[in-house]
Amino acid sequence: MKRPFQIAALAAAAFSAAMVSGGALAQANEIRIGIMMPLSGPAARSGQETLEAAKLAYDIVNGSHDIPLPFAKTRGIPSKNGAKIRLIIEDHGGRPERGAAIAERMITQDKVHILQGAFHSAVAAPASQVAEKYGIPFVTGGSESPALTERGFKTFFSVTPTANDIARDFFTFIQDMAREKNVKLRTLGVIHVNDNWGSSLAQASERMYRQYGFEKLTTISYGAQVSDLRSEVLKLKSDTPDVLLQASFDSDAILAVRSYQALAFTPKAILAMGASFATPDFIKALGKNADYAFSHTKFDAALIQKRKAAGDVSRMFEQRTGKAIWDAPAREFTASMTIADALQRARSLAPKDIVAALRETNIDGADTISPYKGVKFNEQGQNILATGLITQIQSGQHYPVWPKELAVKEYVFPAPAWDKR
Amino acid sequence: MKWLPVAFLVALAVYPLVFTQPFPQHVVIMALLFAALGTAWNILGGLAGQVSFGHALYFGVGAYTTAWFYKAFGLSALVTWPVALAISTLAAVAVGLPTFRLRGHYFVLASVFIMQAVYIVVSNWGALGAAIGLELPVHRPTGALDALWHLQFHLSKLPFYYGALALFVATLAAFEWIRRSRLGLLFVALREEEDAARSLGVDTMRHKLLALIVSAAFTTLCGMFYAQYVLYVEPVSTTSLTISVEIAFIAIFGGVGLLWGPTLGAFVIIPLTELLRAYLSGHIGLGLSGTRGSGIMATLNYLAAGGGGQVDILLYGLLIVLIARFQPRGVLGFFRKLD
Amino acid sequence: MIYAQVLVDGLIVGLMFALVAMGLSLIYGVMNIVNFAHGEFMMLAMYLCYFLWVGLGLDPIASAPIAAAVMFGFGVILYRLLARYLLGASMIAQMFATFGLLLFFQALANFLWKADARTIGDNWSTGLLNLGGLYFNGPEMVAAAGALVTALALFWFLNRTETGLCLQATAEDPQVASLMGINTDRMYALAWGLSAATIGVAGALASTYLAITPLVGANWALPAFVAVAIGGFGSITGAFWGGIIIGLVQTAGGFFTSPSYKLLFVYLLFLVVVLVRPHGLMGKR
Repeated sequence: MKRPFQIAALAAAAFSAAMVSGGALAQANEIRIGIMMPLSGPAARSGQETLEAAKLAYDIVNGSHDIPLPFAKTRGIPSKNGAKIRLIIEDHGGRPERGAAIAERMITQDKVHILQGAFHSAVAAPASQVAEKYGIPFVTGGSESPALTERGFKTFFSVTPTANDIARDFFTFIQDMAREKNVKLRTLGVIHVNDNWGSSLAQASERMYRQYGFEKLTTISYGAQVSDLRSEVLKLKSDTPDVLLQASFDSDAILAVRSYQALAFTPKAILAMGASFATPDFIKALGKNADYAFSHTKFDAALIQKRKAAGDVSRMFEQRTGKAIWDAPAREFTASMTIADALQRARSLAPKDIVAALRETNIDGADTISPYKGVKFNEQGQNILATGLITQIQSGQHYPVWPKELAVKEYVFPAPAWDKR
Repeated sequence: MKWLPVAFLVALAVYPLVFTQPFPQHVVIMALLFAALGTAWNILGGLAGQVSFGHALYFGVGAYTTAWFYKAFGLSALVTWPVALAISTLAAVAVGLPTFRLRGHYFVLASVFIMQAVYIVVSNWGALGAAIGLELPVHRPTGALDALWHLQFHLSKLPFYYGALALFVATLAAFEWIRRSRLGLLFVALREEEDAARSLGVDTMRHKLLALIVSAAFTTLCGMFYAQYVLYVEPVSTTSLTISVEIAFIAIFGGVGLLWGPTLGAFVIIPLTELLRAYLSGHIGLGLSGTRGSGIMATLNYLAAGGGGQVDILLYGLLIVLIARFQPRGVLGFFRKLD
Repeated sequence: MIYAQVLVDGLIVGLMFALVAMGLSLIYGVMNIVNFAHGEFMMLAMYLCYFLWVGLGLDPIASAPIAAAVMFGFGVILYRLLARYLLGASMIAQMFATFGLLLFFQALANFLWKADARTIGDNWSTGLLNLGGLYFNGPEMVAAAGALVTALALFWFLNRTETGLCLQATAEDPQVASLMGINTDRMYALAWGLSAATIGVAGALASTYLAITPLVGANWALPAFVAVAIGGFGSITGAFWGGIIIGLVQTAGGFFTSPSYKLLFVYLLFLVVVLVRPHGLMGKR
C-alpha cells in the first residue's frame, strides 16, 4: 500500500508549494499597481486591449517620451525619486468571487499600492469592497455602474462617466435634436443585453424618460449569448418607438441592425451606448445600413484635433496592438494617467496619502486624451467632470456631432428608412 | 488507507494556522465549498442515482435569500437560514414531483430545462436585482458578537474557513449516514432496479423526494455561505447552468457514489484552476499572447500563451471523456481498484 | 399582419429546430444514447463555413454539402473512437462521455478562435422580400427551405432506401437485426455520421444569419433538445414536429409577453407534455 501514500504526499507537497508561491517579489523604489481585467471569456478581447492601454500609459510614465502629456518626458514618478511603476496583472474571467480573491492576493501578497480595474462592474464591486477593507485605493477607468460610487466608499474612485451620465447625455441630445428639427417624440424604446452593463442603461432610462418629454417607454432585454434577435425586434417594432437606445455587444449590434432592416423597423434615431456601433467590423458588415447610428463614446479619432496628445497615444497604441485605440482602452489610459498624477502629489506611498492625493485630483481635460472636461472627484469618488461625446456614422465614417464644442460635423435626424439609403 | 481521511481532515483543520495569508486560505475555502456542493449533489446523484443539472437552483435560493434579507433588514444568514431552507424544500418538492416521474435521460434533460427557466426568471426579476444582482453591504464589526450577528469579520478569513470546514464535514456525514441507513439500501434498489423496487411496494417517489430535499438543503447552506463570503450575488455566478454543471462535474470527475469522490474532485480542480489562471494571466498580460501579428509563429505564440483561454475546461472535458470511456467511476475509481 | 409575421418567423426557426432535432433523435433511436454534444457539431460546422468564407470566399450555402461531408466523417470518427465503447455502458457513463465532449469542443473552439463572435457578411441569400407587409428575410428563408429539403431527404433515406430500412431495423431491435445479417456496427457509425451531417447542414445554413461563437451550438440548439423530448426520443417524425412546435411556441411566447421569456414557454411546454406523456408525444422508449 505504498502507492496511495506516495501519491497523497506528493499531492500535498505540490499543493502547498503552489499556495505559497506566486506573489511578486517587492523591490525597492518601485510602485506596484495591481490591475485586473477579463483576459479570458467573452470580453477577453476588450479586456486585453484595455489592459494594453494601461500598460502603454505606465510605459510612457516610466520612460522618456516626447509627447505633450504630463510625466511623459520624465522617467518614473519624479517626486518619488523617479520610482517606476510596475503592473501586476491578473485575469478575473468575469467572476465576482475571483475579483475579490484577486484583490486580496494583490494587496496581501503582491503588496500593491493601488488597485485598478475591472471592466466588469460586477467584478469591480466585490473587488473594491476588499480594497475598502484594507484601505487600499481602487481606481476604475471603465466600470460604468452608478451603484459603484453610490456606495460612498472612501477608497473607490471612478474616472469614467456612469450609465446615469450617459443616459443624461442621450436625453439632452435627443431633446436638442427634437427641438432643432421640430420633431415630436412620444415613445422611447430601449433594447439592451441583460447584464450589469446593459441593465444600468435601462434603469437610468426608466428613471429619466419622463422628465425629458417622453410619454411611453418600452424596454426589451435579451440574454448575453443570444444568436438571433428576431423576436426581440418584432416586439420592439410593434411598440413603434420613435427613438431607440441600445446597449449591445459587438456581434449583437450587427445582428440587431440586420434584424431592424429585415423587419423594416426604422426608429427616427438609434443611439448606442459604448463602442459596438462604431467598430470597423460593424461598418464593414452593414455597409450603408450602418449609417446614421449614433454612439455615445469616450474616444473618437477626431479628438486628435482637440486633444494635443491624442494623436501620439493613438499612434503608439496602434503600433503595439495593430488596432486603433477606442473607447474602453482610452478611458483606461486616462485613469492610468490620473493615478500617475495622484502618485506625484501624494505625500508618501502610504495608502491613506495616496487616497488623499486622489481625492484632491484636479486635472484639466486638455491634458488628457479623453473628451472629459477634466478629472475631479466628489466625496463619493465619482469624477464629476466626466463627459462623453456622441458620434454619428455618415457615409461609413463616424464623426463627433455632440457636444457642440467637440463636434466635427452636423448630425442627421431623423434617419431615412432602410430602403431609401 | 483508513488513516488517509483522518490525516486529511487534520491537515485541513490546521491548514489556516500554517498558511496565514488570505489567498491560500481562500483557495481552500472554495475547495471546501465545492467539495460540500459536490457531496450534497452526490446524495441525489450518486446514492439515489438521479443525475441533476439543476442544483444551482438551490444554491441560488440560499445565496439570494441571504442577500435579499441582509440588504433589506440587515439580517444575516445566522437568522434567515430557516427561511432559505424552507424555500429550498419547497423548490425541491416543486421540481421533484413532476420530474421524478421521468426516467433516464428525460429526468436529466428536465433538470437542464428547469435550470434554464429559473435562470431566465431570476435574471429578469427586479426585486432580486435582475441581471445586476444584489450587493451585500459591508459592515465593519464593532465587536465579536456583532461580527457573528452580521457574519462579517472584517479582514479575518478564519471564521469563514472553519465555517466552510464545518459545512463540508456535515455534508460528508449526511452522505455517509444516509448511505449506511435503510434509506441508503432503498436507494441502491432505486438505482439498480427501479421497476423491481416499485413492484415490491417501495414508494419510489417519496424516497427520491427525500434524497432531493436533503441534497437541496445542504446545497442551499452552501449558497448562504457563498453570499456571506463574497458579498455579491448575481445570476451567472450563482443560479446558472454553468454552476450546476460545475457542481455535477466535480462529483463526476472525482467519483459518483463514493464518499470522497467529490472531495477529491474539488481539491484537484479548484487549486488547479487557480494556478492555471494565474500562470496564463501573467503570460497573456505580459503581451506574450500578442494581440497582433499573423503567421505560424504568431499563432503558436498565441496558443502557447493560452490562446483564447479556457485551457482548464479543455483539459477537464478531455479528462471526463477519457474517464467515461475507461473508468466511469471517476478518478477515485482508479484508486479504489487498489483496495 | 404582425401575427402573420409571428407565424412565419416561428415556422422558419421551427424548421431549423426540426432538422437539428431529427439528428439527435436518430442517434438515440439507434443506440439509446443522448448526444449532449450535438449542438457542438453545429458550432463546428459554422466555424468551418466561416473559415471557408473568409479564406476561399465560399458562400455558406455552397459550403453546406462540404459541411455535411466533413461532419459526416467527423461523426463516424467520433463513433469509432468513443461512442462505440459506450454501447453497453451505464446511462451515467454515456451521459458523462458526451457531456465531456460538449465541454471539450466548446473549450477547444474558445481556445483556438477566442470568444469573439464572428458573422458572415452579405452572400447570395441576402435580400428582403416584402409581400404585403409580411417580411421574408433572405438568409432565414433559404435556411428554412434548406432545412425542409434536408429533412425530407432524411425521411426518404430512412424509409425508402435499403440502408435506411436497415438502420430502422437496428433501431428497433439490434439483436434481431444482426441475426438478419445487418452489420449493426456499420449502422451505428452511419447514425452518427448522418446525425452530424444533418446538423452540419443546419449549421451551414444558419451561419448566414447567426453570430458564430463557441457557445452558439449549446445556446441555440437547446430548444432542439426540448423538441426531441417533446416529440419523443427515438421518433424521427416526432422530432420533426417537435421542432416546428417549439419554433412556434418560442416566437409566439416571446412576442405576446416579452422576448426575454421566450425560452421559458419552451421549457414550460416540455414540463406539460412530459407530465401527460412521460415518453413524449410519439416516443418509443
